[in-house]
Amino acid sequence: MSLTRLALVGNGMVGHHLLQNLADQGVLAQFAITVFSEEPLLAYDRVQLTKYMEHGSAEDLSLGSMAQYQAWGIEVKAGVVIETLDTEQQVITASDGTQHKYDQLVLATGSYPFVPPVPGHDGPACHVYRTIPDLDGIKAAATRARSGVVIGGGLLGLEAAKALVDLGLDTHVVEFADRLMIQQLDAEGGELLGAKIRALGVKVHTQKNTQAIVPLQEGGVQLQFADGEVLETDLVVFSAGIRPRDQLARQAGLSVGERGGIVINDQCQTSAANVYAVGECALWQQRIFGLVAPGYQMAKVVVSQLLGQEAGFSGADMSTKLKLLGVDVASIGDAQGRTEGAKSYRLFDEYHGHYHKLVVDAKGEHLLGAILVGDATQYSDLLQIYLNRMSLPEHPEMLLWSADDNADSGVGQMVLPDSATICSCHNVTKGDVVSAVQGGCCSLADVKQQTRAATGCGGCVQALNNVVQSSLQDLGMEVSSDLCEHFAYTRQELYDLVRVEGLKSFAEVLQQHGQGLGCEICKPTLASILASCWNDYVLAGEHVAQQDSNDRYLANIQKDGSYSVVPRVPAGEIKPQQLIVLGEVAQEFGLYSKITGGQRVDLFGARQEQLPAIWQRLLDAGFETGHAYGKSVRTVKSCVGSTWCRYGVGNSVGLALDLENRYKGVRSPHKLKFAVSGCTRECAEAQSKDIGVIATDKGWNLYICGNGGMRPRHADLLATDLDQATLISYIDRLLMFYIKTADRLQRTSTWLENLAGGLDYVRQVVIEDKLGLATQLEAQMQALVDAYQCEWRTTLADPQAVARFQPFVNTQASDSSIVMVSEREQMRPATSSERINLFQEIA
Amino acid sequence: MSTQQWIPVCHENQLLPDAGVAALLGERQLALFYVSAKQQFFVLDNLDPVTGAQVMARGLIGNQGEQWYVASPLLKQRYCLHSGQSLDDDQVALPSWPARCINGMVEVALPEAA
Repeated sequence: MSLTRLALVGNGMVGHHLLQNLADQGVLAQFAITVFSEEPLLAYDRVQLTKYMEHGSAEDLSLGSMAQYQAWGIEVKAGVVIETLDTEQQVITASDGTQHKYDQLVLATGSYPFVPPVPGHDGPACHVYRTIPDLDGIKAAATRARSGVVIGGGLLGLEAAKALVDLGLDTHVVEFADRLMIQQLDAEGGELLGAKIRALGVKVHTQKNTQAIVPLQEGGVQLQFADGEVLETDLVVFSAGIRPRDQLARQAGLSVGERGGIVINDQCQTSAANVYAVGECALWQQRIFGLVAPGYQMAKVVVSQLLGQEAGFSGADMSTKLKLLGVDVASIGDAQGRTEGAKSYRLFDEYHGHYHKLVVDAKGEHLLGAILVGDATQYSDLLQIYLNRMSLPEHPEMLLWSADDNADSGVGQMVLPDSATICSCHNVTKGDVVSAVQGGCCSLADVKQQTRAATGCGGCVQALNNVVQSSLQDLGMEVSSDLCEHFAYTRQELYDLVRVEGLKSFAEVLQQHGQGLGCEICKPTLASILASCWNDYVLAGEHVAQQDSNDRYLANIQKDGSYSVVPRVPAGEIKPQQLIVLGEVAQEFGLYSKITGGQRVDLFGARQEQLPAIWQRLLDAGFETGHAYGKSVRTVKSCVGSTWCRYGVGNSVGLALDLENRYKGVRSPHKLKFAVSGCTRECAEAQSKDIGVIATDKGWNLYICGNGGMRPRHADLLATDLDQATLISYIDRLLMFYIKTADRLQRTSTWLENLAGGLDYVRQVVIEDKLGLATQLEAQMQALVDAYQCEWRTTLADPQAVARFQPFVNTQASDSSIVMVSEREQMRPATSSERINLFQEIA
Repeated sequence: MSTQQWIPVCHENQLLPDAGVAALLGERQLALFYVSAKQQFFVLDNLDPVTGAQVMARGLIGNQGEQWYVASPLLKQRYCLHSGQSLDDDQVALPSWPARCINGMVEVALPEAA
């Protein structure tokens, strides 16, 4: 059987989704696929473009990669435009002159930004906001600009305004209509959004019809409005809607709409045989869908068609939830109440700045639409009610209050059908989530990985979490969240008990809230909680028996029972004399030396009884314990920063020293790694750390919850351009919030992945102080900082503690079971066969 | 006929309540445990059978229902304090010996040295 030649014109998000779909279905082998991409970059996540402004890395956004496409056996022609299409011969001709025959053709050419043809619209100061090169152009122009104007106050316009604000420009938004986001909001909602955005320093000009953009002699341009007013600025970004890219289709004589768009039927077929169109270039029932989710649905329909399966596109929900310039905005269905007989319920909370509106049908039975401004926590609940046409509760007005205020409101009680779509980006239904849980996924993170739900825009994470939790309960696998058989509490509950009741030892907690002896789960967990609350000496009499192998000897146990020793080297900065001492100690005690990833030196092969003597030497040389053995703050890695580096923007070593000296030894549910980079070159790899800081010309950007290791996770940007005091207060709050709420042995990355509400919620707690905890969290961290002690110094001052390092209780003999051999002029543990040989030689 | 003899190892106040210490008798390393709630003494072999390291005395002790155990400090396999039987693998057991405390001295009953 010969392969079907499938040509895909366009490699945007929808085009990539189509390929991903073929791959997921395992049918790639039936096709010979060629992809034509006009942009030199392969498919990337355009929805997250503003993140590109924040992170500055195109890789973060990339969806498709050359390696991936190669692995899929797909031929990619990047930087190539298809110029003609001959639907008779089934041939397309590319800009490089090559011709390609196809059996099936999919047009996924997307859209282009509409630029109103006012005089001056094509001047050098004018930009659009659509592609990564567009953003690079805006970035470059912003370096010579003080102010910027976005023309268009819709959803994308406000995203663009955010980008200008982030670039430090005095930002204006010019809108033709009388309010912002006219497509999604009503008058009150638009008004409130405008007020909130103005409060953030963005100037909003409504009812302004731009008639000309006139270059000024001294540079910049003057916008001239129909009402005679003018506005001068250095940079203009058009965001006045999109237009379908249908030139190729027009040239080929396919049916197109009056105002553009390639006409498709329910099967996404164009007027020509074997030619499909999907995404923003396609016109279905006179509608263009400018969101990614409907495009994904079209892509699925085409895949079904290609495989000879029944499927149809039946329109798509255009509900949306976003955070615009930090303001939560959501719009569902018929938000404007245009349906005949529609009535509304409205809540305008001027005190908190919230506006909530429900649009219901004439009988008050079903939800037709909704608007949420300022607080969109009910979005996913309302969306489910709307999408599934669920009957409204007796008092629909209850739904106006967010779930936080009203846990028992109608929404929580209502049961979703299995067909309910939870994630519209990836079209994951409640049924899919339930079967994932039945198939063995036991956590929100597992389900996200398995189903891809909540990995698109992330707006459904709360709803997803609810379904996951209730499915787990339904299965009776209601994963008991008890810590272990000795404590019928979660780690967080135990933490709160210890804090609130002021419990100071494991014995106390066990006596008051537990049973039995305890175990290897609850002992280290409580030892860690106690240390996180009170920061006592961990080898004090009442604590020593609960410490895990490493904490009990303040060193890292190795496979042969010997230990490794890691002194703290704050920020990786070390005096020559200290380096000499490290070498001397290693030589004197016969230790294997290795440089760690955290910019310190690890000395291996120390016997238990050698540890006190080794530490005496190290303390004398000015070292402190490095807590490499603890679930605690490890290192703050840094680059040399502006002190030495010609590119350096900030003093990364100085900040890293301050951070390491502040947080050293703080015990937490799992280890914590930090890094500080002195510029965006990011030599300290801060974005793979629990806490990462990168210098900017205005201060510090704070990244959180990154991870290297087994499951790498790129850190999320929490806040930008912070001064050092604010930076430290945010880190204080974040760490204490993590310590308070994380599970045992949960790294910050999985903690965040599992946290219902995700990054937005962290932002609310840490930056906006929504829970009113900020002062308390900071005070708790300060108490830990004040209680810091070098555990090795304390240990050496206590003869009883030192005595515990003797290997045997009944003799001064040393442990003959630890046997070293030499390799590359250093010591290493003997393998079992080497040990046998050695013992035979001795015998 | 049993030829075991009780050998004094150390004073009880040299033990660490609810944790272990190691002792050396001849060539053999022992792990001594004291469970304070029940004032009971236990002696197991100090050799972790999974890794071959002499570390069992450094493990954490706990209980699963009625069964008291020590968990290896290296890879956390659990062994019954009474019998030395592994709780995770039927095929594995640590040697174990009776222990007692007489006049403050902890004694272990080892088979008569051959």
